[in-house]
Amino acid sequence: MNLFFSKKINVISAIMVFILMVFNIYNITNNTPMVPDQFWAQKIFYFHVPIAWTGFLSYLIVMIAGVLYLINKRTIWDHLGYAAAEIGTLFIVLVLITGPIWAKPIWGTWWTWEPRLTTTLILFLIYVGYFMLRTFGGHPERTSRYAAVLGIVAFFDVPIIFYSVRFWEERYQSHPQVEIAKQNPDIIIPFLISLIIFSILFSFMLKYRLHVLKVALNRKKN
Amino acid sequence: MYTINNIYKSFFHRIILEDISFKVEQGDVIALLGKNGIGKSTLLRILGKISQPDKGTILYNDANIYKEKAIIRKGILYLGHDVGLYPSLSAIDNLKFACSIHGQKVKDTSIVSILNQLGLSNRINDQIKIYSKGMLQSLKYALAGLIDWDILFFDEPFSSLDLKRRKAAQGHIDTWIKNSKTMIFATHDPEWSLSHCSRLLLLNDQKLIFDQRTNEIDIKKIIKILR
Amino acid sequence: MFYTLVRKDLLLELRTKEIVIPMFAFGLAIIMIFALSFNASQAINHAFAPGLLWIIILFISSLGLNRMFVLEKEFDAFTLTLSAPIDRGIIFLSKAISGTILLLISQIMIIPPFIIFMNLSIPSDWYIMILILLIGDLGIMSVGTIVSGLSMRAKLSEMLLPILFFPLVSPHIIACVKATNYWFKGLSIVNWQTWIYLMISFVLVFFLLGFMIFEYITEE
Repeated sequence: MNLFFSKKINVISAIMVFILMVFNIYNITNNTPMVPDQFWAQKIFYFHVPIAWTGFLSYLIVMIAGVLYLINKRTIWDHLGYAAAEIGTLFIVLVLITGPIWAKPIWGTWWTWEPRLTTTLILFLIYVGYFMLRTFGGHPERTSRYAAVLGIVAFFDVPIIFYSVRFWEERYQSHPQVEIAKQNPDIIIPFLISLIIFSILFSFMLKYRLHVLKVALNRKKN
Repeated sequence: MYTINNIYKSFFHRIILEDISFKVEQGDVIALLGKNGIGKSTLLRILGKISQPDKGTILYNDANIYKEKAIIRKGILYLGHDVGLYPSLSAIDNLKFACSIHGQKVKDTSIVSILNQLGLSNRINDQIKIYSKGMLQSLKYALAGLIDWDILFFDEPFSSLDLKRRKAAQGHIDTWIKNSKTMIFATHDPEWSLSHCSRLLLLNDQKLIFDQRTNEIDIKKIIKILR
Repeated sequence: MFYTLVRKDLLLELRTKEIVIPMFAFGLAIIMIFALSFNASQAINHAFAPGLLWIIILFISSLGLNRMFVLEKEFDAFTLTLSAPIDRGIIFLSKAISGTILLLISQIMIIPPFIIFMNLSIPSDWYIMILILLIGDLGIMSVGTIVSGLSMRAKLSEMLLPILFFPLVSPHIIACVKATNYWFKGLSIVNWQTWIYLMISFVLVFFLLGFMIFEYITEE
């Protein structure tokens, strides 16, 4: 049986990831200081930012997998790109959800054309196109190649998007998140813990998706 | 001259071509035979660098056509199964453009004369979308007549040709054979292949199952495979 | 080789007129609908004009890009160019430049009706606007050619192209709108040159990217 969870190690990993995430939530709720202006809303920072960083890391992986796939055409790079794109997009959607949840109490509005949020939205739209290309692009050997190209192009577009938006609306420079490095350790440490745990979650999900893609491919070949 | 090594190609995870290898020498007139849909056109597209194989290399005069700059492919002419010309341009415009991108300077008079030879004299300036299939096929012969090529890949050389045009086409091919030009034809006409080609390649079940000089062949065996 | 390819694209357009005229007609239709639906004062029109202009340009570019590659698909004509000894990067450059030229032509046709129906008063240094249009078009066509190459062989290519194209080109459009806006307000180019630089960097990045990557886009 090719079930992911038929392997003992995967079951153990899943349980561990679950425990870590529960610990993370507990840690954030109980062990982090209350920020004077924002109170509970600020706690979202411990989710929103790690998810955002992991999501963007994901898209970096899509780009690198794309380059490697174009160079030597090995299926593993195509699968890595696809899996990373899927999980990255999921995380980006979470960023787009937690962003407004954080923004509403602080700024009084759900949405604003703030550089980071806008860039994230545009990136999400680019990846909607990515998945449409994967579905409608033609035979799989061609779509793998095209998706690799799109992953590379998207990655080079992102910094340009970010700087354009930054110059575009000068009034939206205030972001509730302050410079992370300047915070006191009470904030930095739980943040780093959250970041590490979300990265572990990401790796686990990536491993799962890679397994599913491999099984699906084997089934198609037979 | 043209070396094909271990070509693999698949579509929708189905293998079309598996481990195809052969060498083409100067002066070879090769017939690539096979049933309909077996992958002859796919292989020819790969040879013409229209399609890329999943695995394998192709060397043209010892240069890898996938790794080197495009200019090393000068001398290769690919004539596909479809027209391969612009329907909204005239025959003259199309041929002028085609010669130009193959690095060939050609006079208008040469184009007109070869079009006359092929019986297209009163349609030279019309958009080729009004041409019949036979006329369009003849245009490919015009192209092959104008460009100075070293190796020709021709998919279905006689498709849509009536008797008169077929005779003219055969005349062109005979001239090329006389001039020791190198050619690969994809066809499913074994009799023609036997009488006009020096070498037969047979494609079946994703593999090249047959690669022999025509004088060593038993035609009954080929026809049995093609059935 | 490059000139041959560009010349071929322009000759095709001359014979078929399938690109510039539809682009112009489509743009005109959008202007009419906007002018009629909003029926706004001149002040409001002036506020919206730069943004609206670039929205129209974006939509008609989509149309033009689709048409350009459809012309290559008919009779499998693209095979001729692909099988010739030409580097694929050169093919990309030729398509991007031909597209820019055709887009410029349709823009020149569309701007007079735009000014008239929106009742706009424009600054005297119109040559700056030509510069903005030129750089803007180069950026649009560089990304557009990449995306058209990707969606050319796909099912529903008319739908896939805008979905891929619009988000990717959005930063460039932001810059174009900003530049147009400042020019429209009559400010000297010295004040807002950052936007021009942003547009130019976009053009450079995507021309380079397209040139290097077009080989993989045209693989079958």
